[in-house]
Amino acid sequence: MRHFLVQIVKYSLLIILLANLISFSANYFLKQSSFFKPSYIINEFQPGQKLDFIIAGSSRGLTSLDTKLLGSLMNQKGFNLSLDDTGLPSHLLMVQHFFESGFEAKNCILVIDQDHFVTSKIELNDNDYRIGPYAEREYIRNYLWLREKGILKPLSYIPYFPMLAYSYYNSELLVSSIISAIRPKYRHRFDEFGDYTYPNAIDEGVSEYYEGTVSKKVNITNPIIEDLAAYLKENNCNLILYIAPYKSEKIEISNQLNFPLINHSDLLKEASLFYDEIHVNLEGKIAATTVFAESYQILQK
Amino acid sequence: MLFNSIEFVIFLTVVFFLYWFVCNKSLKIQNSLLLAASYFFYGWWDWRFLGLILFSSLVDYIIGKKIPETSSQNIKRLLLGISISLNLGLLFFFKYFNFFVQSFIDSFTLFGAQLDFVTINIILPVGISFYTFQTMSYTIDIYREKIEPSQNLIGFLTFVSFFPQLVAGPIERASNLLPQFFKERKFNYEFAVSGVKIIIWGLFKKMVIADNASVIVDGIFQDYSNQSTGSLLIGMIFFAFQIYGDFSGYSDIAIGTSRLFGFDLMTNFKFPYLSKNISEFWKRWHISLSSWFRDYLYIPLGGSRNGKWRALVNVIIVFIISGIWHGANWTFLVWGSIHGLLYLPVFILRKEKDEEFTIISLKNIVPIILTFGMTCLAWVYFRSNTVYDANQYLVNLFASTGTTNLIFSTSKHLLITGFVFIGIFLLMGIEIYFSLKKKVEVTLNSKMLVALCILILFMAAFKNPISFIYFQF
Repeated sequence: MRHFLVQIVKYSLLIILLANLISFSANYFLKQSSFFKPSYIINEFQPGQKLDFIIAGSSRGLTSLDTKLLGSLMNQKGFNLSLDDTGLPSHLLMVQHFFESGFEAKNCILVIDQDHFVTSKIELNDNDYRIGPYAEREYIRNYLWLREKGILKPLSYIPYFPMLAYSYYNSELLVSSIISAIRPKYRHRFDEFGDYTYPNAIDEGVSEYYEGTVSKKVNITNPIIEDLAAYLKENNCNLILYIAPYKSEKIEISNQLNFPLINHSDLLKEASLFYDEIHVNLEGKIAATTVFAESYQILQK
Repeated sequence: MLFNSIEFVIFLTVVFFLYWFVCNKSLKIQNSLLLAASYFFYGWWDWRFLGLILFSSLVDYIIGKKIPETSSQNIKRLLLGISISLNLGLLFFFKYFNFFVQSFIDSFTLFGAQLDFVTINIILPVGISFYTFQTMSYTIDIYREKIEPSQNLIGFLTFVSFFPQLVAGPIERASNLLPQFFKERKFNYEFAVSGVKIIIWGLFKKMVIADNASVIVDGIFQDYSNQSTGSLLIGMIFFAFQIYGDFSGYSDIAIGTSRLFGFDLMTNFKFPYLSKNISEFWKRWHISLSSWFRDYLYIPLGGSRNGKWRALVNVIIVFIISGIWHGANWTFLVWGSIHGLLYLPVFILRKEKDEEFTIISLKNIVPIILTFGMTCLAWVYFRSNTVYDANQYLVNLFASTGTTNLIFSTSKHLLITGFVFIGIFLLMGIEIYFSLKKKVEVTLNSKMLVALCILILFMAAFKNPISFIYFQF
């Protein structure tokens, strides 16, 4: 029996050791690569780089504004920090990651989604694992620790025991790290300005015809926005809220906000400018960016 | 409590230490611990099921004792009838009641009549098909005077509820398992190590192949009408490996766990996808069930004693009942019937003495692939929600107008498909290797086991831990 238990312990330790070695290597390759945005900005930006604007948001933030076009229209430099399938807490985290990595920006355009106007759930978003490799940083550790459920918190333990995260998120993190090791400059679904564009083809199942706009009056009261504004203020950055176009919704904000809001929820009237109900396509993106630039210009004065 | 869950790891560790370090002084205490652990394990799903298993066990324990005590053949038959009726009655009520009521209503609706029967919301107790068959074989064997009745209630209750094989088999025979509860058990290093090895192999099949494949299979079967031929083909093949990985993985973990406690369970799978015909497939697939049907249904029906034609009818009956055993759905009945029909030509043409198992060779490759293809087609019925869906799936498989390809729809699906293919190639490679060595159990050396554990850690579907498919039966 004793021999059996010793063998079990010995082999378990060996497997844990090997798995952690593989995971530490995977984590290293991911952090050295451009694969995900959190490591891209660290590896590709100049130390202390100053930008005129950053964009934060979810998939609507990622796809609604053309960062390159906006920059050329405004004669400014910007970068899109948005991550698809994330929420307002993740947007704040990405903004923190940007500033804590030693970069600066004058304006932060927060592309806010309806789901987060009032409150955000305390839970991990689908793509939060992308920032996991930097879990040794305090602001990321705090974010993950609060949101990961259960005793085993894979992402939170990455700095000490990465095996958990690289097992649990094997198809997301481990495979990405293998690609990163082979092609460190490869970017996963974003260009050098941090944007992603949906094709012009209209998504199957979505009506080609514009069926009119549904208006709704809502308040924006999510306290995370105040937290973000305060954080940006500390970093000499202005917050601008932006409601990007919806295919058939007009959103009116009823309450008074402490920061500028550009509300283009019903800007685009043609269905052909949309990929689906909530995302514009390439043409829609150019149209939205052009009009946004005008409003943004006014705010700059 | 799934075998591939943290809860089970903790449970197993605690029971293992109590069993060998605290309760090792007496067989009675060890059995009592196993009984308590088994009831705890079973109650973890739903404590209300405990009453059912206790009732079923007590009935068979009492009837088992009474049968040899009486000299009247009629009373013996009556007692056996009570046992079988009670067990099948419970099984029928919990598993098939609503199905038959609904089918009855549907058949009248076909002819324009409206019947107003009420179906009941019945929760299917996990593993009921397995343990009722196990206890039935006990009383039948006593009636046939093949075994002596158990005089020890604790031992008998533990035999029925033994947690490693309680919810999805192997369906053990009393003649094999019951005596092991009354034999002194000493820890055997080699035996325990073989248990650990087979557990790891089972986990690989379940977590890497079955759970990953389920993501692809579910997506394709839910949207089969829009999928391309290639996608439907992948869905069908992946399901064949999903169900094999899931069920044989469970059996391996059950066998391995039993070995940790000094018990030897029967082999349930012997590389079934290396069979060169359907007859051989059934000697290698879910052996504990197919041999149960052979011994307790096919032979009592007359087997092949009353001529070839009667034997053919018996074969078809066995396959149909075997199909419906899996679940209350016409799809299982069709699946069983297909296997029955595929079995018939082999049965008619078979020689007096067939070789036990196919030896892999070039000349056997075509029959092996053909047999695999036929089982794959039948699996479509097993997996589909309705017979109509299965028919349409197969029609689309050969003449699809769909253009969607789930595998290429997202990078996640593509990656998972890659994981499944790697898993399948490894599985088949290892099975062919051991088959060539004329072994039916995969016994990997320590280096390969470490590599396999690493593969499980980095390729398993931890985010998609689905229940074992056979738990629903």
